[in-house]
Formats: sequence, C-alpha cells, structure tokens
Amino acid sequence: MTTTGRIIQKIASPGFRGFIAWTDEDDGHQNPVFIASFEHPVEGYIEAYVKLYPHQNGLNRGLVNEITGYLYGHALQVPQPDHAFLAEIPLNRLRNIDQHLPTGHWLHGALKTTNTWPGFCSSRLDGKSAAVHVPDTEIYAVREDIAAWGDLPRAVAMDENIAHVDRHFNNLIRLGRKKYAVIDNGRLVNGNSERWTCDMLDPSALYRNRLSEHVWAHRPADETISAMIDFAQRHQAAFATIKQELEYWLRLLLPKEHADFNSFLSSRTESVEWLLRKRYQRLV
Amino acid sequence: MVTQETLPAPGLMAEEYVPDGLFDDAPAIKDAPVTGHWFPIRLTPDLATGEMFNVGVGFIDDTGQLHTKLLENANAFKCIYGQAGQENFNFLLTIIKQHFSQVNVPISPSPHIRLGPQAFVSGSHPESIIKNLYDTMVSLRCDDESSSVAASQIAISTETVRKRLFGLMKKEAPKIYERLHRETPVRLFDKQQNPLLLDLPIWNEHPDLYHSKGTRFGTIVSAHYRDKVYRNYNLDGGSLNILNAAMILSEKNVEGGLFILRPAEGTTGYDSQMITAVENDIDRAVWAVQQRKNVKVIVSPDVHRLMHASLELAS
Repeated sequence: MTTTGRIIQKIASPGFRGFIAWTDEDDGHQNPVFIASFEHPVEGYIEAYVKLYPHQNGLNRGLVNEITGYLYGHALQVPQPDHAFLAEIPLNRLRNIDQHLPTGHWLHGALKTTNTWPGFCSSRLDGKSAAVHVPDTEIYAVREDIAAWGDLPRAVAMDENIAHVDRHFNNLIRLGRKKYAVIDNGRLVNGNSERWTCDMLDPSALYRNRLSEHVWAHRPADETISAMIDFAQRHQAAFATIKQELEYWLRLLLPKEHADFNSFLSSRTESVEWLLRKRYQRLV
Repeated sequence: MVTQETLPAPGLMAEEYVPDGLFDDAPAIKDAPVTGHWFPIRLTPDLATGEMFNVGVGFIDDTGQLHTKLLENANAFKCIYGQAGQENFNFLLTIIKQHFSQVNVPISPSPHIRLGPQAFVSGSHPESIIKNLYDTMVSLRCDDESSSVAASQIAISTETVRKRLFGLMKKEAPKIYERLHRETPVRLFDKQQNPLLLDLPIWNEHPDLYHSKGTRFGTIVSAHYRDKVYRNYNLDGGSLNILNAAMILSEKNVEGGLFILRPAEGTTGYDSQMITAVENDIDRAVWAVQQRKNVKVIVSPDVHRLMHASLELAS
C-alpha cells in the first residue's frame, strides 16, 4: 500500500507548520493535547488536535488504539473528524512546554533524549463550525439529545467491536441538535489506562460499553437493538476495506503483539452481532 | 474473563524513546521558507470585566519584521455596545492598525488592546501565515458579503434541490443518471384502472437492470422553507406521490426513496424554534411513508448525501 493511499497519513517534522494552543486543561496533562497546523500531503494546510502518548517500553498502546478506532470509524461510517494522521512533532516548537507540564512529567524525560515525538492528530470539527465538546455530565438534557442521535446505534456497535471502554460523553463532539461525532479512541480494552496486554484480549468478552451504559442503561428500545444488529452484519464487509492498512499499522507499532491484537479484532468483527445479542439478551 | 493488569505502574522503569523508522516512509515535505512567531491581538472593551475578544493576529518573522491583520471594522460590537460602542471600537482599531504599521514592535499602545503569548509558526509567505491564523483566531467578522450569502440560503426550492442533486449525479455517475432520472411525470394505474400522474423524478421500471429485479422510484423535495405553507405543500406532495406509487407497484422487489432537503442547524433565518417546526412537519409528512418496508426516507441538509442515497437505489 502506497503512503498516499492510506487513510491515515504520516507527516514528518518539516510538515509541522505552527503551534496554536494547548487544550489539555485537566488530568495533569498526562497525555498533552494541543492544536497545531500542518502541511498535509493530500489536504494541504490543515489544523488538527494533537495528542502525545508516552512510549513506556512499548506498553502504552495509545497510538495503536487511536489508529484502530479511527480506521474502524472510517470503515463503519461513524461520524468522526475528516482526517487523522501521525505527525512527527518538533517538541521545541510547542509553546512554553517547560512551564505547561508539571515536574516529573514523562515528556520532560523524552525531551532529554529526542527532539521530536509522534503525535496522533485528528482534524478539527470545532472552531468556525461552532461544534462543541459535550460536557462530561449526566444532565438529562444531554442524555436525551444523544439518545436521539441517528448514528448512536452505529457508534455503540463499533465500540462493542473494538472494545472501546472509555466513550464517556466528553468523547463526543456536538455538531448540532441530535447530531454528534466521536473522538478519542485512546482507551481500548483497558478502561484504566492506554496499556493493555495480550492476556486482556478476550474476543468473546463483554467489555464496558459506556455509550450504551450512560444513554440507555444497557436497555435500548427493541428497534434500536434491531438497528445495531443490522449494522453489525455489515462489519465484516467494512473491515475488509481497512484490513490491509490496519495490518500495516499493527506490525509497525506492535512488533511483538500485532498477530494477537489482529486476531482479537478480526474475531470480534466476525462475532459482533453475537456480542450485541448477548449484551442485550436478544439471543433469538 | 478480562484479567487485571500486573505490570509496574507507569513511570517506573519506563523508557521514553521513539521507535526507529516510524517516519521513514512519510511523504517528502519541504521545510516552510518563512518562520517566526505569532500572537493573538485581543480587545478588552471593559477594563473592569476583563472580557476579551480576538480582533487580530500579529506575526514576527525571523528577520524581525512585524506583520499584523486586524478586523476590518467593529460592526460585530454594535449588538453588544450600541452605535457609540461600535464607533469607539472602530476608532480604536484604526489607531492600532496605524500604530503597528509605523512601529515595528509588538507592543500595544492601549490598555484595551492586549497581545497574547507568542508561539512558533511557519509557512510559504507572511501573507498566507497571517491569513490562516486570522481565519482561525478571529470570529468577530461582520460584513455585507457574508450576510447576503446567508440570505440566499434561507429558502431553497424543490426545483433548486433537484437541479443540484441531478447535476451532481450526472457528474459523478452519468450512467446511473441516465437510468434513473425522469423529467416527465409517470403515469400509473390504480386498481380501478384510473390513471394517476405522479411526480417521480427517480424512475426506472426495467426489471433486469437491478440486482433484486424490481422497479425503482423516488422523489426529491425541499423542506428548506421558512414559510410553513410552502414547506408543507412540498412535503405533503412528495409523500403522497411516493405513497401512491408504493401502493400501485405491488410487485415484490420494488424499491423507493423519498429524499428531503432540510435546513442545517445554525442556518441563518432558522432559529431553534424554526428548526423544531421544520422537523415536526417532516416527521408528520413522512410517517405514513416510513411504514412502507420498501421505501426509505432520507432527510439531510446536505445535497451530496441525498444524491449518494439516491444512487443506492440503483444497486
């Protein structure tokens, strides 16, 4: 597969055009997030959210989780940012990085050994469109609006497939009334961190599905369950469209575990209808 | 059953390094020829509240030259501060523009104008750098050109929607366009052999052309009207044509579609109350159509989306 044929492009450091703003104002900046501009090989000038994940001896799966989630979102046509790419971020171009990060932050350690760091980037949905990040709250009005989102069953089915265990409301962008897009696929399999190991990969497990939990308390209407099962029947065909690229990224980022993770994902793709039937007790 | 993680806590014995060769095959991109630092230019109308609005951006290139771009006018402030406020801020913006053009240093001459923190930026030339940053950072643009474009989007007729949709279809899938598009009404006969002339601009009855071997029919209507009478006239007409066709075409593998253009959230002239009214009218008009298993109803503010949905009828 040629580099320009990929869904997720790569941008080396000369393509970093400018720093715009830090956006990670919470959780101690564990995974620094900022907005920057790039020269994208296909799109030209582009502004994107950039997220930096630590390496942790290869045990932090943030990058591979994000790539997996984005590719599946693309294949399953779940609304999400138009573009995602991996960029080589020149760390000395990030505004006030020394002051922004707390003492002892992992990126300070990285700065001692390298000038650049890979960032997972997704193009902005907010900005002039006035789309907003959904507040992380259980207020009824929020839940009700999300419940009426036409693509909610599609998103829940996708999360079931890829074991996305962290889709709380502020991992949604509100594009308009009853209209949302998904962002942030950093946590798959393990809800406590971006680190998972092969013994956590269970193709038949019911992992936490937070969208289903928070919107429906896992009790969606019958026609919604039917809609999800209908979508699930198309997952395998959709997976075929991203299979080659996904394998490329898994081999690159998981040199030792790519076969296990690939097998986990393809098994769940084959059996996602069954997983949904199990979750919602619709076994006939 | 998923097991607990048994690894050392993050940060302990964790090495931070970038895997080798990650960007070796990244497409070649040249370094931008112009580099420097940019900053937002912010207006604080009321020094007591400290409320800030981005009114421009500045860029200092690596030769030390200062470039700035500020709002053309203070029209956007008229709503909040009235005519006098608009005039005052127009005056302030004019002075600030002249100041920066004469003085090549990023220092504000006014307590109402504050310069934000600087950050790295690069690009092909200073004008494009400034333009991109201005487009990103400054929202308070209020000029005649944008409001007249907005006014033209208030009502979009069914005729206009059909022209756009079929224009796109002809370009993207000319063979399907030839197969599906019909310019004249379709004559069908009900059970009593009474003729009915139905407005079905999507029509093809050749049984062998489609995988499931059935007639294809459909219509496109607009709900993009502020006036309820026009809106319901178009919605009800479209629904009735589809229902009549569905009832008459009783063979097994027919497939039909009702494609409706609606205003997007935030469209000028469509506040939340109007949007709710449009949605309610659509729901009412399509309810009976949605009970038909062989007809799909697609509602979207995007003509491209409607066009692609109508292409699916040809599969």
